[in-house]
Amino acid sequence: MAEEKVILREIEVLNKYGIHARPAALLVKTAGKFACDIFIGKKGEEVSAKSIMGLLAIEGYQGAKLSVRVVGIDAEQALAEISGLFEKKFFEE
Amino acid sequence: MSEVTTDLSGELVLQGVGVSPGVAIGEVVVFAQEGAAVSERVISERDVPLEIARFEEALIKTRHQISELQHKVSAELGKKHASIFDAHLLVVDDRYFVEEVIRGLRDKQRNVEVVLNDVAGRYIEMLNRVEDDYLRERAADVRDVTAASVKTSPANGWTAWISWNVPVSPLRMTFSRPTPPA
Repeated sequence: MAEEKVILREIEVLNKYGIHARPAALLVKTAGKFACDIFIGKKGEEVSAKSIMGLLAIEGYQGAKLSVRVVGIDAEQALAEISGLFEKKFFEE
Repeated sequence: MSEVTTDLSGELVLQGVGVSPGVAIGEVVVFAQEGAAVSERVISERDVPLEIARFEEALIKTRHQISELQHKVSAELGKKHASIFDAHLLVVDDRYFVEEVIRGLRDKQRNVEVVLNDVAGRYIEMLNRVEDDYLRERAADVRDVTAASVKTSPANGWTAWISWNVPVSPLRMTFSRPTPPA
């Protein structure tokens, strides 16, 4: 069996309004395309990027530094797309 | 929204937080329907699958209602405006949230309305602890998918209201009537 890939990265929330409903929805939809598990964390607490309720509760306001942990076979592609959403400010600005 | 005064003409003055700029004149539609708070029922282990089925049925109905609303808004205002409902749809599809409620049903052996209220309440509590003022003020987007209150509607079975602080209809999650004890 192929070894499970685990990638960790820190990502900053750049968009003005933080992770409110729309960005959270975008994250969930993007994460849902991948087989791997994607966790977003802050202050030691992690939530699944596939759970909108979890994402809304993560305190992802502008400037917040979040950890992203991706575990699974398509981890690299998933991380690239998730990071892209943060970098593009969730297409809000 | 709280009532402020009733003048001699019988006009009711209400004070609340504006969600859209400007002034609108027209017929008032009150979304927040009154109802008695749901009562807590202890269920037996044997009835847990029935409560799970009621929850799943309510999720399917709710999903259907949101989809319909989204299509309507999309046709009238465009896809961009309708995309806000993506978040609402994702709440009813949120496997983690749904599983938490189902776990709660098994652990607490209470009716689903009570368990759902507890689970949603925990999320509300988390959101209330958010330190950033600006994000907290984004309650319009955040609380709409989490603030749940459960009320009964004797005519239509049990109804859980997920309150929306956005200028759209509240999300109504309707449960079928519980099966009477054998």
